[in-house]
Amino acid sequence: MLSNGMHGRLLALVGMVCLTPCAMAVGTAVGTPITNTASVTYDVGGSTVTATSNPTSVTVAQILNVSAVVQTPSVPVAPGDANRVISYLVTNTGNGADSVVLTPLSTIATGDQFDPVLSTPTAIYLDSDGTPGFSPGDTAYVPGSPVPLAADGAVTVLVLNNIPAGLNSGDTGISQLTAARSGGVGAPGTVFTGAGVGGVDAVVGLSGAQAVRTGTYIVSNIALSAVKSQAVTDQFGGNRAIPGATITYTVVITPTGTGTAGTALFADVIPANTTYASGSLRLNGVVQTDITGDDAGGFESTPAPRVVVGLGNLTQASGPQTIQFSATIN
Amino acid sequence: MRKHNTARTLAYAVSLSLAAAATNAAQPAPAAGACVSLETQALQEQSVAGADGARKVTLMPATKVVPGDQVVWQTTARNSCASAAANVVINQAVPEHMTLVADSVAGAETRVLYSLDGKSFVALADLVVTEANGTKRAARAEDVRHLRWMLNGSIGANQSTSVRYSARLR
Repeated sequence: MLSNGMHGRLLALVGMVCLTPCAMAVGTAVGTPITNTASVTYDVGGSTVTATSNPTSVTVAQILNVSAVVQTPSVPVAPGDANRVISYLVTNTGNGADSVVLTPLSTIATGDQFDPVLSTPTAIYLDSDGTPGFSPGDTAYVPGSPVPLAADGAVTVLVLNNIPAGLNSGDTGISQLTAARSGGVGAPGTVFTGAGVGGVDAVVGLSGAQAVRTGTYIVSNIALSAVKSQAVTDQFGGNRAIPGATITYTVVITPTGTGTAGTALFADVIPANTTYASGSLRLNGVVQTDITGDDAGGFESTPAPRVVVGLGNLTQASGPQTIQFSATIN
Repeated sequence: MRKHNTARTLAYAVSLSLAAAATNAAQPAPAAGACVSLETQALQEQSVAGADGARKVTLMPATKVVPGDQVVWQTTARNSCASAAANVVINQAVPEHMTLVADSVAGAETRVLYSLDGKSFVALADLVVTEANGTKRAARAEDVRHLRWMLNGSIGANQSTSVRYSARLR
């Protein structure tokens, strides 16, 4: 997380971090027959005989999972702005075709200073023209309509809000998007009998078959965006995320806009099941000691192990700030 | 790995007495045709409420298998002849789309061998994978594609024995 001392604003890190390979998000496709046959050889009365079992087949059922990632967690706005976009990537992380219904909510009661106002007549667009962000070619979403998604298929969802007038710099307003399976959601393990592709049973996965995410509008003239990436190096010279492997995280923080982000502080909790690699913290390529206070960076073990880097006052002219650190998988 | 070796050592110990029993068994005239038939079942652990209300995990036929789930593949060998079947070897491939679960291969009084290609079978500890770049490393459970159970004893007349392993759907 990144906080700005002057405004106390918060900014979530962009990008998914996977300790297991991300490419296998979907798994074996629904309806795939899994067939198994055994053979046996044996001696009876001096002769050797071979026999084969019946082929046993199991048909892969459908797992229902939806994920949503907010692509613009922090959107700088000015009071009175119209049609400001928060962008989400909604993905069918199940193993078969499915569809989702999108529901926006901007009247979140806590955690912010103002309520953004959903744009009318259309608050949600599907990014269908390939141009990043909201553009006239995008498809207006009809409230309540199902958006079909193939297995591993994704859609970029743009939620538009108007920003009220009369706000102070630093005020935040949260907007939420719910992407829920159109055929129903439920606790993980809930079975929709025969509801899967081709009439197989469908089972709700760990997502509960829905995703609820928020983005934040910040009244400000400057915004800090953070993009986190990772590289895995294992002790066998490969890049498998296995115990003993080292994950090197790179976070690039970019200030954009006019004005100054005062005493910006970067803090990132070391992921569960990993251990911070001592002496691995770098700011713009310069090694930082693990001790807090002697230079810009440090490692703190309490309350949760995390790296902290003071970035000082940032303006757009400061340019991107690159923070690197490593952790080993336990 | 260690667990597997322990199990195998135990199986050897048991096999001594069984082998003796097999040698002493009467050897009637060989029966023509198939004596040993195999049946393979796909099973899943399911939590079922008992009569007392307590939930208990039991193995039920697999019906709803989704990615990430484990399936217990159980193969039962039945000897329907009047004479014992000796030197019984059961082979089974890990199905496509599935990976073997570590330490899940079981079979009473058997020696289990593992293979990457279905041709060369060795103990798991001796199985070596050659990576694309030529480097060699010890095989992990997910590398194994074929299993072989070698029964230490024989299957007596009208007797049966079962072997099993677990595999996870990718």
